Amino acid sequence: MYTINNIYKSFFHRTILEDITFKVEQGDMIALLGKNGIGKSTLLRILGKISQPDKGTILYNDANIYKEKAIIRKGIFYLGHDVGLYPSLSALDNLKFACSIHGQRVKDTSIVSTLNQLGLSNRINDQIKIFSKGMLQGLKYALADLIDWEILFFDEPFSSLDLKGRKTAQGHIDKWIGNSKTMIFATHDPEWSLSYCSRLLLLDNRKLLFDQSTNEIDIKKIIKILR
Amino acid sequence: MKLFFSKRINVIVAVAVFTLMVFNIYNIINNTPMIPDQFWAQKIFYFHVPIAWTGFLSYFIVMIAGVLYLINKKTIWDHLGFAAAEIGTLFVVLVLITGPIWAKPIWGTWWTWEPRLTTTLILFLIYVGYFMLRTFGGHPERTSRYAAVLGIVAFFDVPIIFYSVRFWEERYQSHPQVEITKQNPEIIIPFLISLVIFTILFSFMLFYRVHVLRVTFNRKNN
Amino acid sequence: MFYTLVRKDLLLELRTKEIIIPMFAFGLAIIMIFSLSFNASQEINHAFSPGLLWIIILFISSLGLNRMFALEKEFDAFTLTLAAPIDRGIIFLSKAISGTILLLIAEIMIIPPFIIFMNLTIPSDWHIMILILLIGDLGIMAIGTIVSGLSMRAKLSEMLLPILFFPLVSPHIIACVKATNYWFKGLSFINWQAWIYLMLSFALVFFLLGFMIFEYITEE
Repeated sequence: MYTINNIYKSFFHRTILEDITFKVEQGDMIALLGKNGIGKSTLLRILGKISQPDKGTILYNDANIYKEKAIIRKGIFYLGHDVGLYPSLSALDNLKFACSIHGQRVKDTSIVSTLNQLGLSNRINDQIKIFSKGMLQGLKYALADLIDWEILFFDEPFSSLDLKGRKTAQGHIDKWIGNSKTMIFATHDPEWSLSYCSRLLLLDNRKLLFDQSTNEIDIKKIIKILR
Repeated sequence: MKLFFSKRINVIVAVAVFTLMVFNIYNIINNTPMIPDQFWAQKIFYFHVPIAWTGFLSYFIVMIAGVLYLINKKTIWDHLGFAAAEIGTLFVVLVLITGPIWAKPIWGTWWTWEPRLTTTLILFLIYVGYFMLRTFGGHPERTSRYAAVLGIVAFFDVPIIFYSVRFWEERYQSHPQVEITKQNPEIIIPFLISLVIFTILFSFMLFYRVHVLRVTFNRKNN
Repeated sequence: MFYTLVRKDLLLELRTKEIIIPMFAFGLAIIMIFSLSFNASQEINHAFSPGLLWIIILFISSLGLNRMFALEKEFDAFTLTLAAPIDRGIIFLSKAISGTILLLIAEIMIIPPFIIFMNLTIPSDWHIMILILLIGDLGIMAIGTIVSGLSMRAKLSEMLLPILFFPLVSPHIIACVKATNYWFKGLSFINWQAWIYLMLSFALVFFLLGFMIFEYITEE
C-alpha cells in the first residue's frame, strides 16, 4: 500500500536519514520509535509530502507521490507535531476548511457533534488561539474522525494531553485499530508501542535499526538503544 | 588535496588564456581605428560589449543549471549555477563601471536610463537578492533549490525588463554605435576577436570556479 | 479546491483584519509624508501622481504579502494545505488571486484620500483606471507570491522580500505608471495600449511560471 524506498535526507550537509526503506501493508499499526531529535518528525514529514527527500521514492498504491498529480494522495492524512490550523479562525471554520481541502463534504452538524464529543461544545465559534494545548491536540483527533482516510501519519499522538485527554485519545485509536485502519505513529514511548502497535520501526543513527512485528521484540533491547 | 593548478593541462590552459587576453588588449590598442570625436574612450566598446554579452551568457547558464538542478537534483548543477551567478555578477559590475566611463566623454553624462544599461542595473539588483537568498535562505539543501528557482524567474524577467525600458523613454532609443553589423570590418573583426577571447576567459573562469566549489563541498562532507 | 483556498484567505482577513487595514494605513502615511515634504503646486502633483500612486501600491503590496504568508506560518497552518491532496500550482493561484483581491480593496480605499490630498482632477472614465489597477495587481501578486514563497522560511524574511521583489517587478511598474499617466492625461486607449499589453504579458508569464514552479518553493 505504501512503499518507501531508499530515502535520504540531510540538513546543513549532515545526513539525518540514510537509505530508509520499508513497506506498509493495509491494517498495519506502526510505531516509529527513536530518541528526540533523531529524525522521526523529518521522516514523517517526508511521508506526508511536506518535506522532500534528497534521494528516494515513495509509492502510494503504486503511484509515485512525487511524480503524479496531487489527487493520487487522496486518502493520506498527515498530522504534524505543531497545530497545523489557523489561530485566528474558529474550531468550526478550521475543521470545515480542513475537511473540504481533503476532498470531504462534511455537514456542519457532524462537525459540531464531533466537537461535542471532545468536550469543546461551548468553544465551537471561538478563535482557536485561546485554546489550551490539550484542546488543540483534541482538534487533531476531531479532524481524524471527520476525514475519511486510508493511511494516517501522526506525530506524537499524546503530546500535551493530560490523563483524561490521553484516555479519550486512546479511545479514538482503539476505534481505528478495531476498524483495521493503517497508521504510523511517531512516538518515544516504547511501552505504549509494544502494547498497542503491531509493528515497530526503530530509528537510530540515521538508519532504521529494525522493523519487526511487536511480538518478536525484547523491550529491554529497545530501552537500551533509546537511552 | 586536489589543487587545480597541480594538473599540468590546467596550467597550460591558464597561461594560454592569459596570453590571449594580453594579445586582445594589444590588438585593441594598436589595430583598431581611431574614431574621430571619440578617440580613446571609444576603445572601451571592445571591452564593454563583450563583457556584457558574456555576463548575460552567464546568467543564461544560471537558468539552465537551475532547471537541471530542479529536474535531477545533482549537486554539480547547483555548483554550476552558483559559479555562473558569481561570474555573471562580476562581469555585470564591470559593465556598469565601463559604461559610465565610456558615457562621460561621449554623452557628457555618467549615467542615462538607456535600455541596455538599465536592464543590466536591474539584473544586478536581482542578483544581489540572489546572493542574499543563498546566505539567509536557510539550510543549503533548501537554498540550492530556491536559488535555482530565482535564477529561472530572473531569466524570464529580463526580456520584459528590456522591452519596458526600451519603450519607456523614447529619447534613449539609440545607443551610440548600436548597429554592430553595419560597422566596417576594421571595427567588426577586432570586436569579434575580443568577444571570442572574453568568452574563452569566461569559460575558463567558470570551469575553475566550479572545480573549487566541488572540491570544497566534497572536503566538507566526507 | 481553488475556491475553498481563496475563500479561506478572505475569511482569515475578515476575522483578523490584519492585511487591508494596515495596507491602507501605511498608504495614507506615505501620502501624508509626500504632501508635507513636497508641498507642491497642483501642476507638479498632477505630473507626479501616477508614479507616486504606484510607489505606494508597491510598498503596500510588500506589506500585504508579508502579512499573508505570516498568517500561514502561525501555528504551522500552511502544513495543512501542503499535506492535502492539492496540486501546488493551485495553491499558488489561490494565493495570488486572494492577494489581488485584498490589494484591489486596499487600493480602492486609498484612492479617494489620494485624490483629495494631492488635489487632483481625474478624467471621467474612471472605470478604465479600475482595469489598470486590476491588471497591475495581477502582475504584482503573481511575482509577489513567487518571491514570498522563496523568502517565507528565510531569516530576515521581511527584508529579503522587498529586496527580491522590487527589482523583479520593476518593468511591470514602469508599464503601470505609463498606462496610468496616459489615462490621467485623457489620451485615448489606442495611444497607450502597448503598455497594457506589456502589463498583461508580465502577469501571464509569471502566473504560468509560478503555477509550474511553486512545487519547488513550498517544500522543505
